[in-house]
Order: sequence, then C-alpha cells, then structure tokens
Amino acid sequence: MLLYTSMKPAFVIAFICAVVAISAYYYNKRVSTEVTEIDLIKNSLSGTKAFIYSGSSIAFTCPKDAYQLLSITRFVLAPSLIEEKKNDADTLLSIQYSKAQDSAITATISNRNTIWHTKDSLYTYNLSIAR
Amino acid sequence: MQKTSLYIVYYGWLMGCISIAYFAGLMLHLPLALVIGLVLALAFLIYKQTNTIITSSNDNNISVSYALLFMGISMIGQKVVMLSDKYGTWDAWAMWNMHAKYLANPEYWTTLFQNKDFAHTDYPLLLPANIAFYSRITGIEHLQTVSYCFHLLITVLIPVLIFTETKHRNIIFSAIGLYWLSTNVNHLTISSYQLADSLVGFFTLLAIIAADYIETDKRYAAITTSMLGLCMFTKNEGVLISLLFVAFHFRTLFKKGNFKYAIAGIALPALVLLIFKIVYAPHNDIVSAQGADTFTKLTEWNRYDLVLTSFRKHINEYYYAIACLFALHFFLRLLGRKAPDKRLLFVFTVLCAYMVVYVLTPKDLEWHVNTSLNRLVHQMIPATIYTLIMVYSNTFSFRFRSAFAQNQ
Repeated sequence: MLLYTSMKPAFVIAFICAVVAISAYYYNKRVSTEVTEIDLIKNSLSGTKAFIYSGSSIAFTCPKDAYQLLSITRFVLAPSLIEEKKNDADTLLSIQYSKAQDSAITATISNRNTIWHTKDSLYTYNLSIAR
Repeated sequence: MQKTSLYIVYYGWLMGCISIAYFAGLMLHLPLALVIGLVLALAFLIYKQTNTIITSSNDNNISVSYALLFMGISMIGQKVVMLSDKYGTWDAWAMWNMHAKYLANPEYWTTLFQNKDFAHTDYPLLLPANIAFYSRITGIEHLQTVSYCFHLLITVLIPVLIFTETKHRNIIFSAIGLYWLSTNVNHLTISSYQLADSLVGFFTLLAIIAADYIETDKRYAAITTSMLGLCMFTKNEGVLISLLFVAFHFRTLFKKGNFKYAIAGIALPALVLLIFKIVYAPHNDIVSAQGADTFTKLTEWNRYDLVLTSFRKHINEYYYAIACLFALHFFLRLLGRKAPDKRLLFVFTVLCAYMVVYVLTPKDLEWHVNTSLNRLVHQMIPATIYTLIMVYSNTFSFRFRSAFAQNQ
C-alpha cells in the first residue's frame, strides 16, 4: 500500500528548510524593532570607528558593578582587542553610568586627553589618550 | 540507520568540514573562495566514501509519520522565534558569537586569543567557525540571523533524528519523545540561547545512534568516532564525553576490522583540535588551576553536597518524568540481576563526571553550578530521550510478544 512506506529524506529536508526560513523571517521581523542594551552601546560606540581600528588594542574601564560592559564592548568592537585597564594604558575607553558618575573613573579621565566622548540614556562614553 | 538519519549525519560532517577548512583557511591565509572549494571537496570525498553505507528502511504509516514530524518541526520553528533573545544569552554574545566576529576577520582573527578575562578563548572553534563562515558569505551584519538559523536547525534536527530512528520501534513512544522535545519550554529556551550545548548534545546523540549500527556496516565506526571528534572540537566537555564513550564502547570500536575505521573517523578533528590547543588556545582555567588543593577539594563533602543538591533540584523541576523512567529502568534491571542499558549508564557516568568537574572548579562553586548546570544537563537530554524510547520500546515489545506467545 502506498501509505505504508518509508519516509523520503527529500521531503523532510525541504520541510525543515522551509520552517527555518520562515522562522528566521519572523525572528528578524521581531528583533528589528527591539532596542537592547547591546544596541544602545553599539550605536553609541559607532562614533569610535575613526579612532579604533580592527586589531587595535584598547584599555577599558567601567564601574565595578557593571561588569557586563567589558563583554558587550568586546562584542561590539570585535576584532579590536579590549582589555581591562592597566596602569600604563595608552588609549583608554571608559564607560560609566550617566546618572551616577564614578569618581575614580572621572579622576582617571581628567588626567588624560579626551579624543572622543558621547552620552546616551544609560551611559557616558569617553575615549582618551595618555598625556 | 535510516536514510533520513544518514542525511543528518552528512549535515554533521558538513559542519565539521566547514570548521576545519575555515580554520585551515585562517591559518594559511587562504581566500574565502578557496575555503568554500575546500569544504566542497572534503564534503564530496566523504560522500563518495559513505553513500553506499547500508541503511535500513522500515515501512510505517507514512502519513502519520509525516504529520507528526511536520507538526513537531513547525512547533519548534514557531516557539523558538518567541523564546530567542536578539543577541542570545550572556555566553552567546560574550563568548560564542564574539569569537565568531573575530574569526570573521581573516586579518586580525588571532587577536581573539589575546583577550584574557571572561572571554573563554580556549573554547574550540566548530561553532564560531561555522557562524563566521556563513556570516562572511551573507555579510557580517547578518551574523545574528546566521547564528539564529544555525541553532534553530540543530534544535530541529535533534527530534527529527530521534523520531526517524525510533518510530518503527514504537510510534507512540516516539511521538511522545517528539512532542516533549517540540514543546518543552525549558528545553527550547536553552536551545535558543545560541550556545554550543545543543550542538554537543546533537553530536553525542549521533555517536550513540551510529554505534548501535556498527555490526551492520563497519563504516558506522567511522561515523561514531567522527561525531565524537566533532564533539571535542565543539566544546571542552566534548573531550570528556568522547573519552567516556570510547571507554564504554572500547570493544566494539577497537575490534579487529573496526579499528581502522574508528581511527579514520576521529583522526582529522582530533588533529585540528590538537593544533588549535597547542598553537592558539590559552590554558583552560579549570585544568590549569589544579594543584595542591585538588585533593582537599575532592575530600570536602560539602562541595559534593552542594552539587548533588543542585542537580536534584534541577532535575526534579525540569526533568522529573525522564528521571523517573531512568530510575525505573535501573531498578528493573537490578531487580532482574541484569546490567542497565549501556547507553543510559553512559549518560549517568557523564553526569557523574560533570559533578566531579564542579567539585574541582577553581571558581566560586555555587556561582559555577548555578550558571551552567542547566546547560550541562541539556547536553545529555537528546541521548537520554533516544535511549529511553529504545529501551522501553524493547521492554514493551518483548512483554507484548511474550504475552501473545502464551495465549497461542
């Protein structure tokens, strides 16, 4: 009987491809209007393109309780190298809360030459070089 | 193995070919077009060697099979859209997709390994290399969509594989397994995290299924070990899984006649992993932290207690039915003075090994367990569901046949 036979791989593969394509379309549609913390930081850091090139090495500092910022910045600025600040940092990118400035970070920046800075609803960004 | 399952094995191999050729391309500064050519050549070579492999064909009510399968696939496609975050979970953007972004840049990809803290650059490259490969073809701005499609495909292929391999044993059990994998919110949520754990589960499942067929064709030994090799090239845990798997299937895999196939299967992924670990990857934090206090940790009962309690809580909350079926099988076998099923024993051993790794962790134990336990258990779910369906199908068909024979 025609109904009693083994499944055809081609049908299964075609159906899987169709489902993945439709699902990807709706995923794109859903997330295209969504603004996450990563999007916010990505938009704000887009201004650093003139200063931070692929493969360049940048020191990074942020408030201690905002430890996710290092990973987000790495993700956004890859393939640049973003490392936690050491004492001898040449180029320093700092991110701090817009509403509660970190005194230690502010003091560090004040001793350096700011080459770029911006602000958004959550954070203040500063790129500086050693004097 | 069913024909459809063999095509899923081909997809597993394709992922392996892409990651190996892409990694070689980065190391040797090859242009992308040449890497694509290399992938196609490798894939063709593998296809030529395996297209005559013996597959089984079981006649079922095809309309029921198609209906169940298509319903399951559709449900996954629809649910994962809703469960996925834009950039995946923390580990997706802080590690896997971030690694992929570095690998997508052929000029500065080695910068990845200079990242020290929180980047886990010792993780193998199968997943990020695949995402980087497709992202370079489609455009790096589509990396998130590529990652989404890649993980959705793995999430779909796991239940398809289990259903295809078990439906002729017992269509009801098989359908229950398919329904669970297609609708369980916890399982689908972890699958949509865009991490490598589903991929590890996928390769482990393929290795277990292929090992069941080694008696029918020796080339299944090559499929088994190649899946273990790809599992090792996906995540560090893959090495542990592979070692335990080989220990459980040592006689079958290294039997005279199977040996050369087993070695042929694992050789290339193992070699590539070795190159990656020796030349590029930094030390693994857990391994390099071992020293004088290792023995102290191993003898601290409260560490075991914490891990066991977390395991128990997690399994009771999300996998209660599966755990009951697991335990029932062990109980029945012990009652009948028989050894439990080797595949379930393997899953149990892997979970025990994970527990020991937790005990040895240099990180804060509670934090480490709370942030990763769900994903480690998730890795073993496909293999567990497949094995439970096989085990209970055998038990029930045996009892049914025995009862039928007595009534004759």
